[in-house]
Amino acid sequence: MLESFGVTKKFLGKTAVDSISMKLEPGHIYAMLGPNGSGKTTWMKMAAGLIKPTSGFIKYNNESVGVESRKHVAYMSTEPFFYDWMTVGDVGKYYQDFFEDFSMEVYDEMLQEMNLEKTLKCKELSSGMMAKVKVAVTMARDAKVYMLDEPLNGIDLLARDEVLNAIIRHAGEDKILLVSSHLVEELESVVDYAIFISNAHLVGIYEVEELRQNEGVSLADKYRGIYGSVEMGGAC
Amino acid sequence: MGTLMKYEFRKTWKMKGFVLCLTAFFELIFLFGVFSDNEDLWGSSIVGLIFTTICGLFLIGVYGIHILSKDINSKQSYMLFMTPNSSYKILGAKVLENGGSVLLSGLFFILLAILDIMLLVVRYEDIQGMLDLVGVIISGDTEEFTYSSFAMASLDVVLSWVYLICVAYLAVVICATLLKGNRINGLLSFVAFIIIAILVDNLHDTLLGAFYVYSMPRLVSNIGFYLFLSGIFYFITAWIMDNKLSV
Amino acid sequence: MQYDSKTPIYLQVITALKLDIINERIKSGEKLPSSRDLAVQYTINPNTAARVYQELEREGVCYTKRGMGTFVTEDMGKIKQCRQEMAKGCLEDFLKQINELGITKEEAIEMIKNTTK
Repeated sequence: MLESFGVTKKFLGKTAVDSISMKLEPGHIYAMLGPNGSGKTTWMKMAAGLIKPTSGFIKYNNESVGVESRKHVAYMSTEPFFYDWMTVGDVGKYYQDFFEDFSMEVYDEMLQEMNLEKTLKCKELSSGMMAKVKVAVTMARDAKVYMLDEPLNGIDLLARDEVLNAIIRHAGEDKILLVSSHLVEELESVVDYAIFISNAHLVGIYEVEELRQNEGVSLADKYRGIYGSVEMGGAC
Repeated sequence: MGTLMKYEFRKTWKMKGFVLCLTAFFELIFLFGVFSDNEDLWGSSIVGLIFTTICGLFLIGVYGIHILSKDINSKQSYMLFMTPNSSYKILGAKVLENGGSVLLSGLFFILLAILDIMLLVVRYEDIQGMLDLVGVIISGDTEEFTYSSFAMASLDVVLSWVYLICVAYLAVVICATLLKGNRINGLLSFVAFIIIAILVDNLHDTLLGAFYVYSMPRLVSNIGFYLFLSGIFYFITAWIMDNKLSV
Repeated sequence: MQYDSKTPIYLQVITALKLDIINERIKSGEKLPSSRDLAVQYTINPNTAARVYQELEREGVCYTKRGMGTFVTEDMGKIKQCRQEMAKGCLEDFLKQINELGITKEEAIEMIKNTTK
């Protein structure tokens, strides 16, 4: 279980995340939705133990996140982050060197599914290929928590399907998956819950099927409803 | 730790290979010159070797500083900080790898220099007079050239360089954390670097100035002093990384 | 697959699967994909996929053999019944829409008869 208790992060006086409290449970895929710059990445980085909150804390299975929790928490950033000298194969070796839960067989399988050669140089990958390698190497870990920051950013339709397939295939009963996006429709059918973030605040957590069943609206409708009014509120 | 160091080496081996190749090149010319009795040739190759030693140590150290800067300021920072390793380990691997490389290549150059000098002494007996002169130059002393004082003086220089690299690490980390978002942070961290270096130099002279320059006790205490300072700066830097760094 | 935005996704997948079974694109007695594969096939959440099978099983359209997977029922009567129910649903929707246009059931029947094809 991943829990956030009143987490706030300020950068040079600017508040990136403002007292966010929530609880993510294993066995579910969560979407983290909100416009660019709303604080999704900052919260994820704190949950991944990469940066420390200004106040509040995040706990994974009742332990504060940090160096230890990185063994179980797999984080993938939006931007490409592999070293220039690496090939796709080197990336796998790097993960194998640093993460006990990494499986080279799973990585190989996923590369094959996605038609990627291990000899390809990272520097020469197209953005779609890079997105696929990042997801493959992250999901080839048998981690307990996966956090993928904008995995569908700037990639074509086919690569998008492959990335979503990889996510679906590796979700499990004992795993928490958190996927952020500023495009709601892309994730709607794949996630159980959607976490809406706006201007550093948590707006709410909604269950996709429940919204349809009880309110007769899709996640995208809900998003429009909430962010439309938020924007108007901001203008006043 | 070993794995971290392995990748630190992987990032810098090209630069090290380049320095090594250059050294091998001049050394071959030197040997060829000595055995073919071509004084001009071995004379100029010595200039080449000295040049390579100074530039090589400098390049290896500066390149390590550049890598640290890249590792904490670019997106590649995830590669290090997403792994289950603390800042102390991550920086420790860098200090050991870069400091170790400078130290090892320093020792390598010292050893090579001593071997080459021995070869010259065996080959040209009248060179001893010249060496005495070298002894006067490096130690400011009328004692004659001894291999041990030469080795200690060189080691002293190499270790002071390792210590300066640690100060530079601190400056780079301060630049990336406390001064982040400041437009002239690069300049400020350079100023910080200079100020720290000067302060430590003053401290050094106050503490150890009593010893005669380049006497053996002075050299030994110098080496201890630099190792101690490198350790202190390592801890300060790692602490800042651990608490203030946003990757 | 495109999902319409008002009905729960699991119901839409159930409809699609039933249609495949009725049209014999999936034969009676045939093994269905695992719920994970179903999730991948329809790009849906694995929990939604599991729910799809639960519902189909509850309705008797599918059954689970322990350790073997989920299979389409061999009871042709059940499939026929399923077809009737879906047809009924279609008709109800149709009548509702045609009603909104102010056309009576009798007029609609007449119109269907006159529609060539």
